[in-house]
Formats: sequence, structure tokens, C-alpha cells
Amino acid sequence: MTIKLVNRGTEGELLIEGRLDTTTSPEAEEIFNEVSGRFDKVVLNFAELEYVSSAGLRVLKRLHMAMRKKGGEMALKNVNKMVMEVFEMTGFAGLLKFE
Amino acid sequence: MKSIIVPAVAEELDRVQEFVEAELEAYDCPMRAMMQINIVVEEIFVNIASYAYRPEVGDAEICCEVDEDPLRVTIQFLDHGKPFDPLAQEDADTSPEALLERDGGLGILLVKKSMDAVDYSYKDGKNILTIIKNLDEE
Repeated sequence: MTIKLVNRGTEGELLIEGRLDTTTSPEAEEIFNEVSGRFDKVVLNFAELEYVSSAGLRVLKRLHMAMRKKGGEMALKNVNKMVMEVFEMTGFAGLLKFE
Repeated sequence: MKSIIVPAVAEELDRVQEFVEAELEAYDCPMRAMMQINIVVEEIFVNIASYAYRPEVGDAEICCEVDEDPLRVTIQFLDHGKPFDPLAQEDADTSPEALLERDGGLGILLVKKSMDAVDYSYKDGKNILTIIKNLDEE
């Protein structure tokens, strides 16, 4: 997994490439913690995300909650069909915001 | 049935996924099914690694067999840890409110929803979780 940050002032966009799984989620979470403190809005660009497992869902949820707690916002974009299916099976499609 | 035995620790996940992928490589496995199998292998193996022997470490055996006509894969996970039926729990509540309140249960939900059959048994001191996925293109 690689994560690139595009800084747009109050908004940060993270381009996440590869897998968000048991192995990579701890590293993703460190970056999520950092950006949630820095930006009012965090957009996760999933164009290059291959797959997400429950370990990935957990860190996405924590980022979502951290942004909500500070009155900010988190959104996902360019989610591929297979990753979207995982969100649908687990209820995340109804929890997270997509743009 | 081909199989591998690995220490049940999360660090071995790559090896387990590679083993299953290698077994499927010779067949015309749809990309979507391959992805779902990868996720499910992760969920089940990490679950064994996290709970089966805690606080000790033990082995897990993963067996994989592909049947043709209809094309389908059967994968078995065996461990000799504490008896635990992951299918016995009620499905996780996936309403937004419940998701915010608690973690857990989503991995097994993904297993149940993305495989065609899931079965648990406890036999000769072993937990045996069997999953079956049909691989014919939908």
C-alpha cells in the first residue's frame, strides 16, 4: 500500500493505492490520525485501491468518527465495484459519505 | 487436496494467500471471485491467528481443492486451538448507529455473504472451517 497526500488547504485528499487490510491498516491509521488533526475535510481517493478487509473498515470507521467529532467531514471517491460490494455487505455504504 | 501448515500468526497471511492464489492460477478464476477469496482467507486466517491459541502460538493448516464442472474451490482451515464456532454468533448489526458503537463481527459477515457455502465442525480436537466458492462467471 502507498498513500499520497494532496494538500488543498483546509481539505486533504489521500490517494490510497493497493490493499487496506490487516497488514497495511496500522500504517494507514497513523496517516489518518495525522490528517484528521490537520484538515477540516479529508477525501479518500480509492481509484487505485484494490481491496479492503474488515481491518481496513475499522480504520476507515475511526477516521470517520474522528472527523465527525471535530465537526469535520470525511468522504470517499472513485470507489471500485469490488470495494463497494464490501461496503454494501457490511453496512458501510450507509455509514460513509461518497462523492 | 493440497495443503500447507503455517504458524498461526498474522505475519504468515501473505504465504497463505499466495498458496490459495497459486492453486487457483491454473483455472479461469474471475477477478471478482479471486478478490473475495483473498478477503475471506484474510478474515479467517487472522481470526485463527488472533484467537485460536492465545496467548500461545500454534499451527494452522490450510487445504485447497478446485473442482471442475462446475468450477468451484473448497478451502479448509484447520487448527487445534480452543473449540470455537465463528458461525454460531448472530450476524453483526450493520445499521450506521450499531457500526459506530461497536467493532467486530464484520469479518465473519464478509465470509458468509461472499462465499457460496460456509461450514464449521469440531473433530478430533480440531476446528475445521470449510468455505466453498463457485467460480463460474455469473
